[in-house]
Amino acid sequence: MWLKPQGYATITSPVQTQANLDGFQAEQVQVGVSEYDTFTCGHCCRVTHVKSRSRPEDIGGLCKQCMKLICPYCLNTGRCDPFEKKLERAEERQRILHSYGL
Amino acid sequence: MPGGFALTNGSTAGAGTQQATASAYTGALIGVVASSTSAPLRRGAIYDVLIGTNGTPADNFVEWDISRVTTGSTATVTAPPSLDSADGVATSIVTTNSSTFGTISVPNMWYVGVNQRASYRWVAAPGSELIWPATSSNGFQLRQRSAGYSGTATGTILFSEY
Repeated sequence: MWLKPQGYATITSPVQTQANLDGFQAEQVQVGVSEYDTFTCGHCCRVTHVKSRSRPEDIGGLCKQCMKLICPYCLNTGRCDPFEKKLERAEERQRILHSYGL
Repeated sequence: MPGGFALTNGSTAGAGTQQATASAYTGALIGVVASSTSAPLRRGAIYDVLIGTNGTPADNFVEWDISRVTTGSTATVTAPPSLDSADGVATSIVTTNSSTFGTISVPNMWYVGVNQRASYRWVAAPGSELIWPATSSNGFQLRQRSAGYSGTATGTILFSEY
């Protein structure tokens, strides 16, 4: 668990089972409530679960340009493209299309 | 940020008919997209997600997914109740129990695969929500699939617009 988690997830299970978190993390789920911290990728807004004692490099990384935690998918792109910039691009495109009557 | 809205595919009046779970993603439990007919267009943010199944209990693996879309599904359009009754109505288009999910632009924005018997909840800290832009028809769809479970599923999301 983190001092400042960006999200909180719980799995409530009546049986011992396995869970697949984020498509790349297998996790043993015990009977009862299992708790996880999450972070939201600073580049794409994807939610990533943080298992206890997981190594930082196994769940993504820290972008040294925007200083935000990023998911493994964005880490592999090797470039900094903050999510706020993506939102602004999408909304600018909407404004331009609207000005053309589209 | 104004107050939020709650949306469920469960017993909400006018929520349509719950769809069976298939081995591939075929529909969406819940969808929410920005509306071009509402003025002004608003950004929105999902900050709470709850999922589970309501069929006969059995040990099956069920995958849950929230994907980003650039066009939403078309039915069944639902009016989400606001958490604060003093708030106005939502400007986004929200759908429940759809047989389609629109056009996916980014899959697996949120993904978890769990036993059918398990339920799951995710709550975002302020500033870490799943955000959609103030762009027409952009938003999210909550979907489920399973190779073993063919019953219906339940989902609830809490979102806000700003």
